[in-house]
Amino acid sequence: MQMRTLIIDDERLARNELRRLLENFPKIDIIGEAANADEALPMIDELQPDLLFLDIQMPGKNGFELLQAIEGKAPDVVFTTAYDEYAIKAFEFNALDYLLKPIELNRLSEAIHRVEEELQHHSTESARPTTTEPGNRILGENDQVFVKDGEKCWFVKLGKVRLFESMGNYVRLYFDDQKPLVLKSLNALEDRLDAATFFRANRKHIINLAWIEKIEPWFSGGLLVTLRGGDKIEISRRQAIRFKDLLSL
Amino acid sequence: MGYSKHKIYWFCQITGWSLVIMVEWFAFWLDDGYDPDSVYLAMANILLGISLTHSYRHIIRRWNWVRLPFVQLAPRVLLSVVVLAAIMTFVNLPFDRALYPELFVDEPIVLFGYIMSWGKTMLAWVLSYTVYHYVERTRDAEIEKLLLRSSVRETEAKVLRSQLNPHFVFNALNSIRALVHEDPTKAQQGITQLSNILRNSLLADRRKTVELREEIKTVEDYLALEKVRYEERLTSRIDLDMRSLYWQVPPMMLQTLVENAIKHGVQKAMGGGFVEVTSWLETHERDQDRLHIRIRNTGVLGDKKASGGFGLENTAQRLDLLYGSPASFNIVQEQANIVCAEIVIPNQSEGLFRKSDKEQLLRVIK
Repeated sequence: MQMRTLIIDDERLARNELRRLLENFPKIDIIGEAANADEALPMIDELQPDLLFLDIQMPGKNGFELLQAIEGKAPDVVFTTAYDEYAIKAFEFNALDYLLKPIELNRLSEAIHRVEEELQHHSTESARPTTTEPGNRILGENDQVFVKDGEKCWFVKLGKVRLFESMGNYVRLYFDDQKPLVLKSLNALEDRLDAATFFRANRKHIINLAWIEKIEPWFSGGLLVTLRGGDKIEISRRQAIRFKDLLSL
Repeated sequence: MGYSKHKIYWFCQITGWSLVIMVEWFAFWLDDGYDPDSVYLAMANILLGISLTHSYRHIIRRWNWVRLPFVQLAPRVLLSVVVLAAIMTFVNLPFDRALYPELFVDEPIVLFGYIMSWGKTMLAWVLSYTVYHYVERTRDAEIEKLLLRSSVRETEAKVLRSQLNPHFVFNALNSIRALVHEDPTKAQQGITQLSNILRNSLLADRRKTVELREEIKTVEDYLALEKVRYEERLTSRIDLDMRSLYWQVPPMMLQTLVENAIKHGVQKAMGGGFVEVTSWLETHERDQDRLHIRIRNTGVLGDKKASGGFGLENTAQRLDLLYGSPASFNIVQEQANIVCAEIVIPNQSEGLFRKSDKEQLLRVIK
């Protein structure tokens, strides 16, 4: 299985060096190079790579900012850095994969094998294929997104997000015991999310249907839904009608 | 000093107690005439007073009461005063009653009177002891602080000297590794340049100052390596006054500033940028010449943290440690996209390692 790969680093020599090392891995298919976020974003959009080798320190947007700017599903990422004390702590804390420059061949090999396993896992797991044509990128429960809130960052599978809550210009994601904020509007997210899994319960909330534990009738013809984890969300009357249709109650 | 403290303590105890008891006995003698029993009683009281307070002192020391904050100390003190007074009372009362029954009308007020009177004495004792120790502790703390500060300064000065940026080192090594295939000669030069920089950085630890021309060589090697990484995105210019080349400057200081210029300035600029280093001599007050070094670079001075806060603080601190007020460090946003930093370094003789701290310390100890 080929892994379509993009190398992103502002130093030409660093990109060359990585290219040279990657020649040792026939499964890695280098589909392009970018020197900064501005070059990289359209390439990611158009080419839809499986894997990014991403330098963190770059002029303009840094590596994290680039990831946050990706509309839609985030590819697998292996970060590269010469030495960044804080980033390294963040990586270890969040189990993100990183490589230290100058890169050691066996560390690179391990990272690539991990990605390979991840990608295989994805393809056997998805019951419903999520289309990868640009312009029609609906995110389903197996897709992952990159989330950064202050110092913490995560790659989250959307299936683990049980609730989205609008907070003005931001949206709060609820997964595990984390509640980070992302700079996106709830409406924009709704357009992106698979309607079969994610339901707009009311003006402020989108819920993950797989996390519903209990449904009760509520005031004015609405419904009160309890999610696994305890959150209680009201479904407005109008939405309740659609909800019942959706679940064919 | 411990020996004389001991002597002072016993002197105070013996004279203090004797004075207090004897004055009282004297008043009694004037009032009621001489009575040998009362003398024995007075002597006994002196001994009792001294031994009680001495044991009390042991207790205080054992439980470290003097270190307690006032809120916790006050109730303990009051309680102990009451206890001590009570002990004195219960010893004295039966004797007095036996010796001078005529003075006693059996009322609780007598008991109360005794306790109050002994209480006053005990309170005075306890207060003086506590106050003495508080004062002493403060003085000790001050001395320790000064000693610590001057030893810390020495270590600080050492640590501040070598601050080679690991980011730079590993990126440089990565670039050199890439060059091994692409341009082996350049790779060889790169390795030499990097080793020069590493060596200077290690030596910086041992020397307080170096000649400017040596420091500039490190900067040049550094810029050469960075040019390998950034290629056309970095241009540089070094313009030094010939006379300034032999001036003594702190090692790795200029290097750190240039590093910052690139790390926070040039590197972040989308199209790349430039770094410019200039030096000249200026005559200041008292005909003293001072060295001026200016670093101009592409960049934006963000908040302190973003602009390499630590490197800049380091510079200001080191200059202060080494030269005091004749030296200075300034950094401003010269134009929209150009940052300008300037350091001023006096001549070596204008004072290496400030004397003022040592003088202050000696004064306090004496």
